[in-house]
Amino acid sequence: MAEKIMINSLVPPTWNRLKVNETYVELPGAFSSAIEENLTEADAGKWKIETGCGKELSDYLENAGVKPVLANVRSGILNMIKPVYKEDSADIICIDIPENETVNILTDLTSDESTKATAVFQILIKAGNNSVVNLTQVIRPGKGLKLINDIGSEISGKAQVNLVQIFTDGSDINAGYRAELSGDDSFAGCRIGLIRSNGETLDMNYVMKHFAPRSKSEISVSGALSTGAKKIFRGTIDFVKGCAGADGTENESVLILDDTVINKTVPLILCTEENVAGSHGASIGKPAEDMLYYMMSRGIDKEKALRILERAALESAVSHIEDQTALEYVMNIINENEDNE
Amino acid sequence: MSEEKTIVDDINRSVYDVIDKENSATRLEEGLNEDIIRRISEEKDDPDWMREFRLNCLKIYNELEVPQWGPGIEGLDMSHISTYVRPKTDMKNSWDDVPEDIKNTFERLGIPEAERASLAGVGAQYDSELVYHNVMKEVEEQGVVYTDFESALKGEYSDMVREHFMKLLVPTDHKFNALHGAVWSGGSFVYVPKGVKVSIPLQSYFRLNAKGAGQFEHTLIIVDEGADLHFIEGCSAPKYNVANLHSGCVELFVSKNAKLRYSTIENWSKNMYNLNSKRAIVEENARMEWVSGSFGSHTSYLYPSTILKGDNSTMEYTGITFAGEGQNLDTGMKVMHVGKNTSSVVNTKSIAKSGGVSTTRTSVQVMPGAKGAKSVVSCESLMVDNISRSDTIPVMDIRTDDADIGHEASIGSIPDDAVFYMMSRGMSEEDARALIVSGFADNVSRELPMEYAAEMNNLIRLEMKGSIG
Repeated sequence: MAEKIMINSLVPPTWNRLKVNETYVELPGAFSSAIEENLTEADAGKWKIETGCGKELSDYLENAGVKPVLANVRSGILNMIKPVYKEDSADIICIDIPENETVNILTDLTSDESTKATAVFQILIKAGNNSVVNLTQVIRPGKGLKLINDIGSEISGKAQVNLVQIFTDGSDINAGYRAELSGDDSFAGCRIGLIRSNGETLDMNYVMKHFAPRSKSEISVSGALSTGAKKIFRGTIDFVKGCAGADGTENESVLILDDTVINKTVPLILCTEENVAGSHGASIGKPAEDMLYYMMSRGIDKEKALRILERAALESAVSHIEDQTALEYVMNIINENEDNE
Repeated sequence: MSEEKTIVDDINRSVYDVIDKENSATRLEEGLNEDIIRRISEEKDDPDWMREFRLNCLKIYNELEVPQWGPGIEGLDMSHISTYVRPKTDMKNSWDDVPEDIKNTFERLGIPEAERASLAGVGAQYDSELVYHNVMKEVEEQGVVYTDFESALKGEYSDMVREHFMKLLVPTDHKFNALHGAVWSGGSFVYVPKGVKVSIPLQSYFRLNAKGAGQFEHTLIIVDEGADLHFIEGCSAPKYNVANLHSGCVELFVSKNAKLRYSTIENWSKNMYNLNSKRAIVEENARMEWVSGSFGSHTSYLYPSTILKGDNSTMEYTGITFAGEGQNLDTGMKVMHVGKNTSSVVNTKSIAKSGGVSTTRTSVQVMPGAKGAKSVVSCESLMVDNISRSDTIPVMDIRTDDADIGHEASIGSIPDDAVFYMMSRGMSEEDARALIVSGFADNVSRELPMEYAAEMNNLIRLEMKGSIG
């Protein structure tokens, strides 16, 4: 039976009237899997990793009988994960990276326009000491797919998890990411490029939890909103006592292209450790007049100039993609979208 | 430099902690019910509409939930708070006429001296009522009205008061606005006529002496077109081992082309629950300035809010919060851009030490029609040790394309190299750290009249003396 559950909770919460403390989603009672490959079931007890969308979602999936599976990922290649969405589905993909290994993963979350369904796509990552995980996600569900994209990671000593997410036009999306920086000198990078329009919503909750000394996190969001789009970005840097020397930064740059959009930004910095450096910067508003003027004086009409700025917002995140094949894949999608427009 | 940290107990804040023997004329029993509300209303000889307003607020209070998003206020039990304590004196216009014990308290706090040196008018509230009120003759002659709230409610300005009272801070906003509406007592009414510029500040000082009592003063300021005012608010209380409550309301109406600066140095005792509400509405081409220093109280909820209603209206907020041992201070500000070409500049600093919790909570809302809105928010936090907590919780809600919104926040510690440098020049570590913190707070002290800046720096020194780290 369908049930409404709370996800993307802001901890600690703030004024209720701002309507940013949490969001509610309706989930079906049963799910199929959208992964066509046969993957080995993971030991659920060993994969209790907190995610950005939160415990209520993980518990719901567990109660609905969704089993975590181990992804087959290898070093030296681009590991592609592309679910095929046809009906209500939920998948929990576990990615276990041993010490000193580097893996590149690309997930493409898309669906046919005809698909009417709800999908939960959850990735759980354990990054062993000194390992590197480069995870690129293209998130572009078709109009009928309500998508929850949720990630949790545990990052060991000197390990890195580099997440790049590209949200292009599509349906309503809820997204979460939580990185637990539990190893000394660990790193979590999170680069997000987003375009939202035509009344689409994007509800995000990203948490960087610094437990270990000298751990470092970087979140950057760049995007453009137009024609009734609604976006909430919650970004939390949490310095837990004991993470001396930790460093966390958040940056957001959002272009608002018309008067019909709602952009909410909630960048928290929480701190119980003395010796840390945390910072946040945001720039939200219309495109700079002088930049538009310059482009128009070179013969580019205003519409085209705005499309260029939208693309630049995505490319700011794309530029962080390490793997060349993944980069080309993402750029092809961006180019295709542009051609279609 | 040693990595070991030494934590020393906070020092005595004797000036603020002196307890006068309670010598009240009336002290209503603890708790909150209709009978108590009716008796407060009788004590104050309210007009009928106000009595009904109070009773309605009580109903709203009983219907609303305690906020769940802020610091816990489980230690505050309204059934143990006396909401009305009338001191054994009526309001005087000369310090000489104020009873000796009360006068001594204000003398110790430096209020009469400040009045002589730098103020155009003073109101001094002791528990639930004003005991002293005076305004300079020159200011009175300009047509400025500065009076206790009860006189305004029944006098020449009663219609104006009724028109504005709790219209900005409506009782349904939250539980403690409703509480205030039910039990308010004391406070000030200020009206600055069109075009009048009051060059010297007015001040209200609130002292809560009674143990286990609440103070619920109401401040209503109307600055008419083209007028200009600086109003200063100070507050303190001695420390008791039971909870005290302060739930004042400040409503500020800044008319077209007017300017209002509202400065607060809050130094409540560390058993105080400070659940205060302040809101300003700013008309066309007008300007609102907030200067806020929060040092005291056990738990604070304090977020002065501004509605930039008029085109080209502006707001500037400068605030510092200093949370020490046993304190949980949740402070910040809210601004809503409604008119066209409005702007807000916000600069907050917070310091947490000796296990204190400081939370900076802000919201910037830009409504759909607020074309040309500009907002810059800067939140800086300083962690003095690793047994404290400092959180920054900003929200930006932007609903127009024609806006330019910037936000920056940072958190850090006192740099060891700066302390080392000062120590190498002969300073003690304690003095070096206090100096760095004073420098951190410099943007606030620069905005205050000199006497108040000195008081604030003194408070910082007092707070820092306890922590060598």
